[in-house]
Amino acid sequence: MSQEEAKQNLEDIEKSNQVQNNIQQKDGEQQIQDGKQLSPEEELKLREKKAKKALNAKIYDLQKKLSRGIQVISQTEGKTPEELFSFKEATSNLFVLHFGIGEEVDYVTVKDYVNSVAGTHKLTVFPGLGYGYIQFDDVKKAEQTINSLERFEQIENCHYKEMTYEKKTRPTLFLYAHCKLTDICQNKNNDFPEASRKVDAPGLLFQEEFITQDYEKLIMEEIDKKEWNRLAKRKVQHYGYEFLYGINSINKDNKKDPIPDFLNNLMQTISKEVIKGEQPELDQLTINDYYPGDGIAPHFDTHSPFEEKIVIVSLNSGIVMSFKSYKNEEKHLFLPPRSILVLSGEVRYAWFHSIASRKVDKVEGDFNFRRRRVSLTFRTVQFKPCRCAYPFFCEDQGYDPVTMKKNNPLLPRDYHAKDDSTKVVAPKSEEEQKILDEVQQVITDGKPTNLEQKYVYEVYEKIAPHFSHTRYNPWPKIESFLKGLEPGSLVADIGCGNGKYLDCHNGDIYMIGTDRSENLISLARNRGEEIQVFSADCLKLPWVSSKFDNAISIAVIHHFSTPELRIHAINEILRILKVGGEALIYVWAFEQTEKSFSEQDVFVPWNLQNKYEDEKVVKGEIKPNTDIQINEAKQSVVYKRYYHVFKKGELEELISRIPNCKINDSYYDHANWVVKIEKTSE
Amino acid sequence: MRLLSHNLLQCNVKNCKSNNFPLKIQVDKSNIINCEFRKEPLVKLIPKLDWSALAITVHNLAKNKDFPEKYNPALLDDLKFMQDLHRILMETHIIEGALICEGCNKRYPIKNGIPNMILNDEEV
Repeated sequence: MSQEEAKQNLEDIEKSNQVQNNIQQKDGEQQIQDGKQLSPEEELKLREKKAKKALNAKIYDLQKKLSRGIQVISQTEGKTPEELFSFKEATSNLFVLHFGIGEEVDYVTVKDYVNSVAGTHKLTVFPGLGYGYIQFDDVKKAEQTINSLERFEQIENCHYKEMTYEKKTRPTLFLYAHCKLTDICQNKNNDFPEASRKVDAPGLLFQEEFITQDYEKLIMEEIDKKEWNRLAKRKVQHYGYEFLYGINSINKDNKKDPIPDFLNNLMQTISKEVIKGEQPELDQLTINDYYPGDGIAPHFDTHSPFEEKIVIVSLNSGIVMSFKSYKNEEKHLFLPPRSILVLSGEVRYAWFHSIASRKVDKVEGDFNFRRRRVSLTFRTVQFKPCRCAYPFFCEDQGYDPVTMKKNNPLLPRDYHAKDDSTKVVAPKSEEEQKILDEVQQVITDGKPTNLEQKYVYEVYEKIAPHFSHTRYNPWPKIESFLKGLEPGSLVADIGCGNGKYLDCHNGDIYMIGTDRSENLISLARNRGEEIQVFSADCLKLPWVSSKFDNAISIAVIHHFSTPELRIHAINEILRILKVGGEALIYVWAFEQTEKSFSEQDVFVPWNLQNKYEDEKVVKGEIKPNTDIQINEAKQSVVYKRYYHVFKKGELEELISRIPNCKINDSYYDHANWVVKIEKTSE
Repeated sequence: MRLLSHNLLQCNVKNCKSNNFPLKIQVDKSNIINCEFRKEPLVKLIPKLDWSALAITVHNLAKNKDFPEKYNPALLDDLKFMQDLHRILMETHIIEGALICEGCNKRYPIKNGIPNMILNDEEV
């Protein structure tokens, strides 16, 4: 080796030893400061000596890094180095020790390098960890990567490259992996689902690059001139109306600053392309400031305060939003900066959306490291009750949002904490099926059949006192219906049972109740001397036509065994109503958690406690005119009531066959489907 | 049963289409049960009444020939009359007795203030 070559070699080593040189320099400076003038040979020797020292230091350093790295991976993964690494043979996957913290710069630096030497690959980094994992589709690419690296013969398995991470330079080591990515992904905090740039969910609309970069920049600047409101976890700004976090609603009486002018262009485009006159214009804006690591728990926007369409514009950084349906379908959508997301229909009313609290998202095989993201959420304040098609999720249609998750019948069975087997209604017995088949074949001509006689009338007559004992709380929606009626209204409670609604009004209306069960009617009468009740059949009401202002029929019509009889009962309600009069009809819902059904025509057991029962029946000495079972364990006699439980929309369909009425409202309340119908003509 | 309730009742026996309203009342026991006189709801109820049916009933029961056979809006300003009407419609209760259809002679018993309007199978 010539002197020049030796010198060149040294310079190379010196260059590659930059980091160590910084430390070595001090020695060098020391030497010069000693004031000795060195001859060229001496200088070369000294440099050789320094280079060797530096080399040794570097080897020492790399050796330490390599063994420390292997140890760390091994400890973190809970596996031996032999399980993790392939020291002898090439494999198509590599571990990379980047010694960072798994943030964006580590990802980008490694990825750029591997791209430049081997091309396509999939790099995974783990937040908080100093190593990553590279997958190739071909072992050759892994070899290419390894071969591109520098190495020291003195250190086994050491393939490294000095890489510059932003401004800092760190040696980065690569090793063949023996394990799969899935073997090391256990309990990793980046074991999260991969998002798409496009998802299908009913009612979800999404468009990338909805605004220009210039406009985005302008909006960001203007927003930052405004004052931020600090919440526990993030900062917000509100315009149009005040948003109340405790109840997730807005204060409709408290108008705040209007939506700022610099958003006018955006608002106009949204109005034209999204709102399209289908709801009043957007008039409420919430701006959220999200930093990497911020998230928002699964939720949907409460129905009542806002109209259907909700518009979300993302600025400055992308983020993954997750959507989950009540059927547990999950979708993960990447919202890049400048994109618009519109939630409407099912996804707005009945899907949960959330943003996971993390600093990075996986998007179609790639990582998206989050930066500061500002989101604009536009809504239209609603001044009427919500009447969406998703009553189970709707506080305006009788579902309490607090208990919604727990009791929501639309959620899968395993969503609920515990299934109570007593709630499960058994399928019909052969005998029950036979009686049902028989009555469904005859033309009833508005007369109750043998089935109503045996499985409804007889049973209520028997269980009346016990039944009444369990039915004392009026349901709030019915109570408020009655309390909202015009003073002086004539109101019929058809099938009034123990009469709990007969005195549940403010005294200005005149209520009359009827029921088929004389025992229940007597109980109703006992509520007070002024209570007005009649024994009557709701298929043949004893009143003159077209007199009543209102009627209620609570949990009655589901006791009829044929559609013909159900329609007959509704017709009879309409007959007594005046034109323009309104009736409230409740029927048991198939979709409920209070009971679970496998079919719509069911025989629901009633456990009549022995204290309510005739002793002779308990002893089996006499038999009532219906099927009973003596349940000795529960000290009760089991009666069965016939029900036709209604599926969603079925009651509306039934009513659509009746010409002289219209449906003013329909909703779900207390395991019942409900309609408000109005008589439109005689 | 109040007389106001009675004013709404008719006989619904199959094919009984005439003379089925108002039902004749046979009183075995009646009671006056006092309740607050409130003019506003009463005024609103009056147009909903079948006045002539009410007049027939009052004439039959109380032999009270003073009760006007026809409704006249001036009555609303007659406080004495309105209080009487309150007594008739709201405070007079039939406790025991029967309702009888003058068209088909169907008899509906009243027990403990509850008329039993349920028809037999053949009457439906």
